[in-house]
Amino acid sequence: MLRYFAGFFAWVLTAVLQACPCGCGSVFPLSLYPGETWKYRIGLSRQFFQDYVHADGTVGQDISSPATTDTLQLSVARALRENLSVFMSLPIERNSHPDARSHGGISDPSIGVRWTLNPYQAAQVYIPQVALHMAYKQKIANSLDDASEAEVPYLGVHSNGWNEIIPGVDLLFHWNAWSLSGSQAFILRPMKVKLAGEDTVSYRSGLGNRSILSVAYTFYGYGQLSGGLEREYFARSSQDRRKLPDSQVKRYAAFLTSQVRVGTRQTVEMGLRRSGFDGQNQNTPRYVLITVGYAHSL
Amino acid sequence: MRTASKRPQTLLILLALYLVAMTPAPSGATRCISFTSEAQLQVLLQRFDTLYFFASWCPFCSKGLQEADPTRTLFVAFRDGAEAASTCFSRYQPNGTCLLDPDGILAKRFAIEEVPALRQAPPARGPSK
Repeated sequence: MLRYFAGFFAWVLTAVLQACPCGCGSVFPLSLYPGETWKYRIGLSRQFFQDYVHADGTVGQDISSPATTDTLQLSVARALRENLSVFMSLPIERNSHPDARSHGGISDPSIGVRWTLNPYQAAQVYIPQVALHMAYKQKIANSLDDASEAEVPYLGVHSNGWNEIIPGVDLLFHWNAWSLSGSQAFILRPMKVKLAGEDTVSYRSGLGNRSILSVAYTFYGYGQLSGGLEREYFARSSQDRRKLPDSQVKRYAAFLTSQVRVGTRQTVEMGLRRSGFDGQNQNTPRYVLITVGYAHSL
Repeated sequence: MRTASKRPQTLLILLALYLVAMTPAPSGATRCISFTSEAQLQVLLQRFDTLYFFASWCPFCSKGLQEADPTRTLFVAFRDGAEAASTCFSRYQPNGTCLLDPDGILAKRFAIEEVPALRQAPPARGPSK
């Protein structure tokens, strides 16, 4: 059952925090341009769960997930130096199901640091902007570990049950109004130990890796349209050092985001994301996510 | 298995080689000069009637840099390093005059919060043109 929710909320850290630093346009999350000291974002999203892709690729009904999850996500980034910034994010969720009462709660917060190693230079357009980042997600909310079978659908679950350390690298090219970005991150989950009667059982998730490729077109002064593909993979997890068969998670997602400049360094965004529909998915729920957000940098 | 473990290293080496290959050698770039005083600005404003604020890190500034008339426009590098601003400036506008504004003092004076930005220069004080 644990594998069902492995990586389930991993998209949280890829949520955008964008504003208009230079007319408009930052295809990367949580990035601050020179001269920006703070950036904050308020996002509202609704996740429509549909069904579940099993390890063998077959699609079945997902009775464990809520029908919808509404999320209010508060994010803030702060520049420490010109190329160094820290960020944090706090999601607050409400899970709903037509056959049961809804349940709200704080989900797992994340903090991180971002270092722009090689800033974009207009004179050298074939050299990408390179940024390194490291994030940490702390499990504070209830996960499936804390739920019992009798609670299906698991409305009280607001966490994937893991602390996560997520190092990554972003590359970004700009050619006039076009931007192309690639991002690679690894997801490390420290081992956890659960009590099973008088014994303890150790669980270890496989190493996760997430690749994102996105393209954006900026309508200078008005906004930006971006779209991309994401692939996330977790190797097999293990229980008491024994690999669990068919426990790998593979998920493909596609997203489309539009941002409209509504003021100086202020952006309103609307996004659509489909997860688990295309490609060879395994052990992942399929859902559609609709997002509305507001970002402002100072 | 061995191939899979070597793949990230190979990619990193290729990326490093690409970055080294694409980094241009230092050249005799048109230097941007530091903004030092109000008096310096007033002298410059006697020659120029427009200010163009740009930055080397701004993807949308190069077009304006190329199109601006260097005989009428004073270029201001907004929150930029001397080397990066000079390299960018000399590529797109080799004959112009560029002033460095690393702390955003000039930008604040002309109410600039984003780049690129074009401003009509106020009449210069002091000796007439």
